[in-house]
Amino acid sequence: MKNLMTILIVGVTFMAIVSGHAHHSFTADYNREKSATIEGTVTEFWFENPHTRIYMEVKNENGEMEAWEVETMTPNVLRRMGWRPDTFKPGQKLTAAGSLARNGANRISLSILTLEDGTQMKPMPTDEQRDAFYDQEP
Amino acid sequence: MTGNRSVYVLLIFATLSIAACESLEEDIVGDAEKGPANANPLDDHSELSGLWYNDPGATRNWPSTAEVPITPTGQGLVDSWVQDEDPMLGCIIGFGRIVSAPFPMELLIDGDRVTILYEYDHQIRRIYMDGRDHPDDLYPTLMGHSVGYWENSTLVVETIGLEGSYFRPSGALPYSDSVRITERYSSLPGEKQLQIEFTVTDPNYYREPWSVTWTYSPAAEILEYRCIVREHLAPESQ
Repeated sequence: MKNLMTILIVGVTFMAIVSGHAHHSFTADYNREKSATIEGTVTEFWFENPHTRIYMEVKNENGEMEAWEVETMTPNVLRRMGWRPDTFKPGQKLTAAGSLARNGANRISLSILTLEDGTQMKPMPTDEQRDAFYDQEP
Repeated sequence: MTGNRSVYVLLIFATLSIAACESLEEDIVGDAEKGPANANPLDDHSELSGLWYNDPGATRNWPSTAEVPITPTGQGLVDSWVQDEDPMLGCIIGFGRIVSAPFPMELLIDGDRVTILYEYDHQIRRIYMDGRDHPDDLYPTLMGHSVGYWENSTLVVETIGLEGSYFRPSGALPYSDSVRITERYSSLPGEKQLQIEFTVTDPNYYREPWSVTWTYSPAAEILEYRCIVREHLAPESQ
């Protein structure tokens, strides 16, 4: 009985410590230490709150097509950076890099997008883009 | 002899002046009657009006849980937060997140009407400046009940009647439905800037009141924020 109690106490304590780390909503969903870069074709672009999403068709190592989701910022911030509902169109080729979803789903939280012509886009405003957020007095 | 009497008169006058000033510095909690006595009737407070934005690239200046005098009950709420049960997934967004999210707001000041329009979830707060007190029979709402007054050029707002929630995403910094929020809006000298000092008093979760201060710059525009519920992610309604 005493051994069982010890195991239970240790087990519960361990679970409490481990679960206590899932505080921040980003780290609850995504693993900052595991990133992925996916290359493929846009199937859908959802420019909506709370998180903008790009759905892509990606060929995996076995040559099979997989559906992937790229999640990113609220459109309210992206719009101020120049993104629009038609910024990404079905059939468009993209490379997306970001942190992998923890639950094993084919989903990343976007860090950098690379367009077919090599242009890079990040979901955080550059200094220049940030200027557009504010009222610039002449 | 005349010189001494003048000194006495001056001393008495100075003492009375100081006493008068100190009698105005009462505890401000819940007393909306102070406003008119301090307000300059010629001041239209236009420097606080307008569209304001906090830098969306910067982390909002909330303290961490470790930096506030949180009680064990408050800490328990931080530890037990479950992301999948966040009402925000069902587009129910509370006061704490509305006032602190990286979206702009608009301050409308018109006589004894102060209205704050938030881009986030197109929320509105009406600040009653006519000297009324909070109602006795408030039930908790998302944005609470706010009364305010002017302390010279500073807008002071007292808010109660909030539904308990969290100030930050991810379950940090909880607040109960007994929380009292005091905000002080003031214009910073120099370039047009707004400063908000935000004070939280919630004995359920914090041993003492704590404050945080934010600086805003004039915003270019306010957009529509349309929150879409993704049914498969939304917590089950109670």
